[in-house]
Amino acid sequence: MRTSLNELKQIEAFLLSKKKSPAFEMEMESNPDLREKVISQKIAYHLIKLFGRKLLKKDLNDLHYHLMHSHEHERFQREVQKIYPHHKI
Amino acid sequence: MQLVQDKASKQLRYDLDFPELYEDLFPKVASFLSKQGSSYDLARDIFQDAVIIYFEKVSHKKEEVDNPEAYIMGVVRHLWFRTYNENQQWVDFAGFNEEVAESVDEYLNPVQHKVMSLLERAGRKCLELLRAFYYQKASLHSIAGDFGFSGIRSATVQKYKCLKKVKDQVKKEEIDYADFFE
Repeated sequence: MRTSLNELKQIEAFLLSKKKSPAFEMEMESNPDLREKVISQKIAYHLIKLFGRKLLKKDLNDLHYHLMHSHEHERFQREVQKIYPHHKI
Repeated sequence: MQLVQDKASKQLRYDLDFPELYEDLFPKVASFLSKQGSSYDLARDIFQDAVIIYFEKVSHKKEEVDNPEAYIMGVVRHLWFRTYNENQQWVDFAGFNEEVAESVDEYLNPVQHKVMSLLERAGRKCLELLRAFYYQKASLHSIAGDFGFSGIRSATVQKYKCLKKVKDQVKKEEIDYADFFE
């Protein structure tokens, strides 16, 4: 397990750092198994980003609802109502 | 609600003041979009997508934006253009910017959504932890506190274990690299 976690850590350092290690790149070229692991990890990061976006969108929707319904934000509500007078709060 | 909670709350927070940004910019964006013929719901949707693209630029790519309002308005224009351009090809329009167009393309890539359900199989707690670290950019110290780990070391090990779960799922389902990056 420890070896596997260390490998994840090494691949993470390669994928997430701006300066790519030439030694790691060379190893990847000669090791198809490692290359496959790097690709799977890159996809995993991308999926995590999509999950993060989905939840941030939900948070922003909650925030919108709060701004449109809370008494503290009446100025905001008036501005929006002026732009969309037919929208019912 | 996570974005408007009390600062003393233990919930993880983003390093961007979303409520202030939202309150300040949504009316301006809505005013622009309503003049273009956008509905209220679409204006809200486009604005939120633009805010997410802006957040990722400053928080993930660590790029500085001198004028957030101008940047977000630029993204809104691009998103509006894509929404109403049936063939989905970029053409020159006032304010077109290649870098913004690239970010919008990446954000709107529809292939991505097919595989989202795979993530759920890694378990909710794991996903929340990975999201906190990789998307919200929370520190391992705050993650350890919020998720009940004994310290940074234990949070780090758990983070990698969760990442492995997602990675194993990617391998198991034979998700293709080309679906995302080509």
